[in-house]
Amino acid sequence: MKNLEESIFLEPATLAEALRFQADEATRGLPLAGGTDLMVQWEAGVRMAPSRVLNLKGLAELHGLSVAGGSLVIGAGVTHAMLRRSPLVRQHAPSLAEAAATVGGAQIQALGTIGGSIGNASPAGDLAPSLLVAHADVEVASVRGARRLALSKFLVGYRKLDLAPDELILRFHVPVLPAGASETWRKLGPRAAQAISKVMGSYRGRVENGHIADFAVALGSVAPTAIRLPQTEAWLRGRALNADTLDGAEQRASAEVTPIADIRSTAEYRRWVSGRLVRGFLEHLASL
Amino acid sequence: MSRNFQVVNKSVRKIDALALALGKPMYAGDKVPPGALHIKFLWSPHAHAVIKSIDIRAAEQLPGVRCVLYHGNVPRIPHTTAGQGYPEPSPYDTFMFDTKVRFVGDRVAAVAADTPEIAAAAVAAIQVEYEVLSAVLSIDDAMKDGAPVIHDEPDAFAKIPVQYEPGKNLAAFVGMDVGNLDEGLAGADVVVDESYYAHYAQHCPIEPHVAFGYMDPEGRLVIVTSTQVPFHVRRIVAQCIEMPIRQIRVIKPRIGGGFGVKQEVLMEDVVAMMTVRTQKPCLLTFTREEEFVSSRTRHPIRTRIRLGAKKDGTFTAYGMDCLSNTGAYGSHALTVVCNCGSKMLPLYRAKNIHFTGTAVYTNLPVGGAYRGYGATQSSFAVESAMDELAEKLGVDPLALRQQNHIVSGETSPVFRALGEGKAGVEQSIGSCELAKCITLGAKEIGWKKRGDWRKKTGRMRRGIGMACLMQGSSIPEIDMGAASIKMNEDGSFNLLMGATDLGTGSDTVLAQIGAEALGCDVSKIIVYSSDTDMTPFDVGAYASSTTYLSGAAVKNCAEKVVKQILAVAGQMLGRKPSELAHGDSVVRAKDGSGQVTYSEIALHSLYNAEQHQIGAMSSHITHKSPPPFSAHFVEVEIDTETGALKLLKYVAAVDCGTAINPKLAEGQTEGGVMNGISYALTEEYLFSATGRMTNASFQDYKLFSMRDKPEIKTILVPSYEKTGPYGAKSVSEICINGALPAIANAIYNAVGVRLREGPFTAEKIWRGLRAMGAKA
Repeated sequence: MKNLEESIFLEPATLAEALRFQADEATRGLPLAGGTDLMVQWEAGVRMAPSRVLNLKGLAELHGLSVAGGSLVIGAGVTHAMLRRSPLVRQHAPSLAEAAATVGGAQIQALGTIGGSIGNASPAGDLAPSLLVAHADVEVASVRGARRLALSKFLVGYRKLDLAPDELILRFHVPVLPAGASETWRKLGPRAAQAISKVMGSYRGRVENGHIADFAVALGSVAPTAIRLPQTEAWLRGRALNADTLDGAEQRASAEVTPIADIRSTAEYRRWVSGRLVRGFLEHLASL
Repeated sequence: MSRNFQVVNKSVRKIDALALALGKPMYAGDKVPPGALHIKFLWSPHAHAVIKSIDIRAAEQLPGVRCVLYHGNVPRIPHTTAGQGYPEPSPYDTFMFDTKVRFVGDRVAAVAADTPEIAAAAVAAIQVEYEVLSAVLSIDDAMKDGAPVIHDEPDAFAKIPVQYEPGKNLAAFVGMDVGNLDEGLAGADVVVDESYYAHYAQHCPIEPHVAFGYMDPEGRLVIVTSTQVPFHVRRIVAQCIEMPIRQIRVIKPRIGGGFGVKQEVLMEDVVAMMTVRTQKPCLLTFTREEEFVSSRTRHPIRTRIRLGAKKDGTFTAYGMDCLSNTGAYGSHALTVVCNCGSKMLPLYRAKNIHFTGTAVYTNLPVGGAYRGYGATQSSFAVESAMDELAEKLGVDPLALRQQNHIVSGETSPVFRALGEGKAGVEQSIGSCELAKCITLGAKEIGWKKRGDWRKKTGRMRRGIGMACLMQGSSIPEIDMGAASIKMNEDGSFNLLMGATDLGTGSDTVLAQIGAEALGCDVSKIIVYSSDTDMTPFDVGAYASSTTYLSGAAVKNCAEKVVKQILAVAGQMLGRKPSELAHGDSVVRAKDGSGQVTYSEIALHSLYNAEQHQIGAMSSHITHKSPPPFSAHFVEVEIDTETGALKLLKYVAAVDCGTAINPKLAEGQTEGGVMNGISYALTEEYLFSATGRMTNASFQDYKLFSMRDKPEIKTILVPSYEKTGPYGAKSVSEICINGALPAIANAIYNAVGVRLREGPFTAEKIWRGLRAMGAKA
């Protein structure tokens, strides 16, 4: 068993230096931001500490939070606490702020980052659904150059990302909430704080003349990654926002998810709650 | 009842609060001698297996390994880990190490090494060959014909004459009948016959089990341990390592929570053996996973309740049959199941009463003492059944309880019939303000707004539930507490007690009782507890005994000291003791002719004339176990779409006699209520098909946290228990018993779903709603 004390901590001063470390397999380290998941796993022996850790904490390049070109640009190093408090996030991606506010406890929020949450590639990561419904892009880079891709393409599978070993997550581009649209985030867990969700999700949608003009919904903990529900979304588009639509959407959403049973819940219950969450989102949309 | 108290019944600041808040080194883990060896266990990966062979050579040869213990190199001495009065009512079915393992997490071997890492590596290097046996993984399978016998060793036995049949996996059986239950049921207009299951849970003290040992310069063994029962530790360790009691000293520093799990001599035997073998300090600290899997749990118990009543609400029959899972060892098996009956049967009057308690062995984690001690499990059953009966009778469940609950001056045949491993002690209720608890609690929760669930509509539905509770205060004619007091030159007093403050504030409470009797401020009392070399005997902190029993010992002792103080003051003032009055650290002549301070009295007695140490030692036993009473009320809101439950408000009205320290009594109550809510809503053990616990961490075993805390209102309803110190009864256990039944009843009142098995997860409520076909 490897002890963390024996790990080498790489402390790059700049992003460029960090990318150079990652470029070569011989110097590459496991990226560490807030450490709220990795540190716990190493300490508990669930996962072995790696021989090299790349500490991203000090990199100023990863800390920006601004609006540019119709999108919120959120550095990978932005913490949950910053997301929760930021007036920009609350205005332009309120469901992301809501999600960030319920992750872990105060200490976890103060340390854990958006880059770490997404980079961890857990289906139970609380931030992914809000980014997915906003059609967010992720920007990654290596010494070979930077690239930008849709988050939905980036989340490949259970604990799997479209990220090369030499690449680091730089930032997220989150299209701002359009005028007239609304969104929210909801979670069902065993208790208020520091609990992994049984099911959670977000939507972003807009109604025009009583009909659904846009509707994007994403759920976590119901499939190998956080997922959008394209079939349900397509069925909803253009429909009148009435009781039949709510019933239909609930049925379709329940059928569209592929949850598993684990120690937190059964698949059957997750499937049901998924439908109910989507119904709740539509009710939220209708109430505005 | 108005009493003119000076120190008790006041919320004095906890005497150790500042030091604890400042993080001063007060716990066992803070005091470890430098260079201590680290002990790690090898735990069984199998639920039931025989150890065919074990090879420790590779482990022993690792550099830094100092000692490896296993069944082949330690004495084989049957004992119980239960820290109870001697001879213990728990079977002697445990060995330091055995040739058989009986649950996943049972002891196989242990290593002491220079570092925890080396110890872990050595544990991994031990080669064990197992012959895996089929396992008993449920209470229903335990007593089936042909079930694997878990304790087939010939040397397990019961130390006292109780029913113990290990060949049938029967760890304990007890029963009693008053009248004839069947006749009572036959004569009833309405009958409820239902079973309720109280599930596995763990105490989760913030400080896990921590103990270290060292040899003092004279070659005596010193054990410093986070225990509730230092004197039982000394006795049981002496038994296990075959060392005379005089060679052993046990010191209990501050304890970071116990809740019963430290009423167990769980690992001190191995710490002691390692220390003696290596002659070096040895430290053992449980991980959280070990705390869950290999320490002790709440006995899961299925309780069948049969209640019969006439149309007018009079009870004709009250039957309780408990089937308890004691896990792989019989620690507290008999006494916990006895308490199911003895604490909840006397609560209601009935002509025909029936009780059986059966505890079976399984190949699952081991039960033990846990706050509530059987009453938690049975109050869930009784108080749920009361609501089910009220529903059938068509009466208000509150009124049904008011009509039938025991009151002051009454007795119950159960007190005499059911004791702890033997017959009980007859008693009549000297103080009971349950009626007032019910009235005040009902008002606080708004009982009147509680409607029939069938009339509730909408997605979010609210419900109100309640439960009545009863516990005891110490074990009569078994438990003993003692204290000694000596006086110092400045008029201060050393108060030495065997009683163990496990975070409850009992050092403060007992200091208040001492100060009240001595007539001084609580700041003049220097408390030391507990150290088997220094302090007098006390059975320890369990069975809701410390305030009532050890408090009386302190009061007796202080009164003896006051007599000596008055004698010396009388000499100094030229007065008879009867002409003197004491208080505020001064003795005054009642005629106002003169006074001397406690400091002057102490100086006189120590230096001037007829020099002697003013001081005394006293002990106390009780002939009653006066019950505290409580009524708990809760309001919930259920989301009918997901089954998610939100607690809106919780009210606990409690009659604990005189609250010696009202703030600490409230603290005990709120803590216990949160403990109970957590048990009712989120805590549970999950097992694999082979009996391995699959959620042994705080990541997967969820405790209610402060962020989940609803508004909790504690109402202290004073009574005066004449047999208790300054009218006090107990308060610390009763408060955990209400959440399961009160919340179950509130869920029913909200949505009509009756849950008879905890925890009440959203999914269970949702399934109940679906089964009813109720759709929002």
